Parts: sequence; C-alpha cells; structure tokens
Amino acid sequence: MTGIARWLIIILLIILVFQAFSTSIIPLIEDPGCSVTYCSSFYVGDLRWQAFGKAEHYSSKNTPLPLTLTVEIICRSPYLGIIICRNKAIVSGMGKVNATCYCTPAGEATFCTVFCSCTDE
Amino acid sequence: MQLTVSKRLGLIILLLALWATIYFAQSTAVTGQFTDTKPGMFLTLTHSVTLKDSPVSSLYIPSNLYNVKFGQITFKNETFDVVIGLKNGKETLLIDGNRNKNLSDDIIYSQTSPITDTSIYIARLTFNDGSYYYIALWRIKDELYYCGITRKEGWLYSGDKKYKAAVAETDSDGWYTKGNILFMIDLNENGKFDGPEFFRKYVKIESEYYTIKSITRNGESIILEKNATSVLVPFVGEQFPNILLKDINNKEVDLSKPIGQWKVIYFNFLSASEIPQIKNWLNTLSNFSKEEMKIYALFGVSSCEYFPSKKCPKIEELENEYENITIIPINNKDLDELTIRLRLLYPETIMLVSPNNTLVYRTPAGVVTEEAIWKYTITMPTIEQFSHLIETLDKN
Repeated sequence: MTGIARWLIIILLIILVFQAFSTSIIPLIEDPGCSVTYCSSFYVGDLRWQAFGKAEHYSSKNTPLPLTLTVEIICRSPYLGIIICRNKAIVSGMGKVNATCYCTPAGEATFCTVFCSCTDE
Repeated sequence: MQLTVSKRLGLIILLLALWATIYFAQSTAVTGQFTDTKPGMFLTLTHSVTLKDSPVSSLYIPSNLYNVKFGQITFKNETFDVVIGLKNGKETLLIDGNRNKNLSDDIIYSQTSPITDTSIYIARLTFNDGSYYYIALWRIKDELYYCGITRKEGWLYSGDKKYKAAVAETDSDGWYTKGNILFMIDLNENGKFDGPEFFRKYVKIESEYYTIKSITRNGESIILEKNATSVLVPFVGEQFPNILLKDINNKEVDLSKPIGQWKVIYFNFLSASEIPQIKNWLNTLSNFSKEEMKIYALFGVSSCEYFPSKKCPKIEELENEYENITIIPINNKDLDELTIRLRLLYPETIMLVSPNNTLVYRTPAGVVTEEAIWKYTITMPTIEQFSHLIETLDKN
C-alpha cells in the first residue's frame, strides 16, 4: 500500500472512531416541531365571532409530519368578565392544518379572545 | 347518677369549649338563604341547538303557526321542547316549559335587543322537583341560542346584620357550583343591586373579605368564610390592599407599592385592535414624572405575542419604549382570577391610587336591572379627562 493510501485509510479510521464516540447524533430527518402560523378572531355578522388558526409541521427535508391544532375562542361580558360564549376546534393532520370555530354571544357588546396551540401528534 | 367533682369540672370545660367553638365559628362565617327564584340576570354562558323540520316526539302545536321548526333544550337532565315559527307573519317562539307536551299553557314573553334588534324570548321552565328556572332564547337562522337568566333571592346573615342578597349561576346548566356563580349583596340597603355590589368568588362586606366556601347545588344555601388577606380591590374611597400578582415570567409585583407615590394601574389586551388605544395611554402616562407617579400597565397576552409586527408589538418592545412604566404581561390561565380580584372591565380599565393607598378612581361601571336581561354601562374616561383628574388631585 502506498504512503498516501495508508494515510487516507488512517484518516478515515480516525473520523469513524470520532463519530462513534461523538455524543451528538446526527438524525436522519430533522424535526423542528410544529408551529402555529396564524391565530386570530373576527366578527362575521349575525352576532357571530369566528376564530381561525393555522399550524404547520414539516421536517427539515419538507416531509409533512403529524400535528394537532387546537383553536379556542372565549367571549366574555365586559362587565365582571363572565364567559358568555366558548368554543373549541381540534384538528389533526399531516403537514399543514387549519381549524375554525365560532362563538355567538348575544345582545350586548362582548370581548373575544382566541388561543391557538399545536402538538406534534 | 352521681358525678364526681372532677367529672363535673370536665363536663363544664367540655361545654365551655363547645360553646366557644360554635360562637367563634359563627362569627367568622356568613350564611345566606335564597328561596325566591326570579327572572333577571346578565346574559350567561350561551348554548345552542340546531332547529329541525320535524319534532323529536309528538307535540300539540297551535294550528295558526307556519314554517315551524323544532328543537329541544336540556337542563339538569330534563328536556324541554321548543317550537319556532310564524304567526300572523310574525316570528313566534313557544316552549313546553312544564313538559306536558302542550305548547299553549307555558309562560313566555319577548323583548327586543336594543343592540341587534333580535327578538329575545324569556321563558320559565319547571323541573320535576317543582323548582323554576328562567332562560333567554333567541334564533339566528337555523340555530336556537339560549342561556340562563335566573337568580335566587333571599338574605345574607353577617353577625347581627341581615342584607338582601341573591345568587345566580353563570354557566347555564341549572346547577349552582362555586366556580360559576355571581353573588349580589345590597350592601347600601337601597333595595337594589348596584354596580359595586356584584361579586365572583371573593366578597367584601363592611371591611372584611370573604371567600365562597360552599353553595348547595340548588342555590338555596351559601356559606362564606372569612379570608385573612384582602384579596379584592375595594370600592372607591377605601384602602387599596396588598395585591401580589405574578406576571407571565413568574415575577411578583405588588400593586400597592410604593407607598408615598401616586399609582396608576392600566389594563388592556395586547391585540392589534387595542394597540392604538394602548399606545395613546402609555404615551400620556409616561409623561408623568417617575418621582411623582408609579405606572403599572397590565396586559392580557393575546395575538401580538404570536405574530408581532410594527402595529402589534411584543412585550419586550413596549418595555424598551416605555422605560418609566412597569409592564406586566398576564398569562391567559391567570386572567380570570385577576379579573375577579381587580374587578377588571374589558377590554380596558384604569385605576388611580393615592400616595396613602386610597383608591381614588376606577373606571365607572353601572348596572340596569329593571328588565329580565340586565345591562351594564362602562364609562372609560378619555385620556384628557384622566390627565386633568391627576393634575387636579395632585394640586390639592
């Protein structure tokens, strides 16, 4: 075996040994976790409030991964904060999901807040 | 049976101990009895049912009703039939409130919502045990919406004082549970329930604070127990208590500090729709001298934290822009408790506390309780009005 070939083999062996003892594992598919990309509520008429949310979960190689999106809308009376309407939508899927739910508090002015969250399953 | 001296003494001590326990237990507990069921409450948690073209079970319906739709609503595991249609061209709602399958003998009347021009119907339901429950119903397209508007009236006994009081449940299920009731006490004894006389979870009577210890499921009996700490923001003119709260980063803040300085407590939600108003207030409040005024800005964390933008800043950006103001972001899970303790009005509230910790101003709110569906009025001051108030109070 020539000197250069021998050195190449030694270097390769060193790299392999280093990788074997390395504490960091290089995954085959990187998973950054799901993220909520949109979350908002708006008045749609007829005393109805709509909450709409979007979430995504893809690998670093753009492979769709499973996720569950929860969108919750809570409408409260401005006086004393009594909850006068509440609704939730839970949608599961792969890659990208949307969820919508509605609240219809009646009569008086109301204040609605929307909450969105996602999990990787 | 002859008792020895020591046994007699033991019995006397036991009786004295029992008497002392009963006496002191009574003096720290407040009890209420509510036996009079009445219609009249704020709107509560709304439920809905989809109206169908045919009834679930056979019903006697008046023959002059057209375009009829049917639904059923359930309270306390008892189901009530609802029918809605046109009579002489006008929308009419009927409910089988006494569950006898006859829709001609039930108590129902309507009032028009001044905001939406929708007809809201008020009906009385009668349960199998003979008790009543009043509900409000309204129709939007093919959905029927309803909520409870019942209160139980009676008396609250505190020491040797007796107050007119009432309790209402707020989740429209017919049951009274600690976490879902609204409590009213006629503290000023004027015969009605005024704005500051409504309480959720914590109650203030005279100078004492109470927690709702228990309530019977039918709402007829309540026990309040004395709370050692002042958990509730007082009425205007009273001493502002030590209210410790934790922000979203678990950092503790005492809104009653520092003593010796004016304090402003401003609350709103950090959402795109509220940002312009929030910025106007923060710009004005930050002009007050740091030595004269301590400014607290409490924010319910909302959509800006998800999707910050120029028009919708994150908390950190506000902290950097308004260094004179203590910004306190409030977690969604802590929002309800804070709303109850600070008696917050939505979406914004402002309070002013004097250097000696007297609450001198809070956003005024009043109630109108004449009709079946109660209303409230909230009058948030303009920035100019509030600034003028501070200047006037400071001069005096």
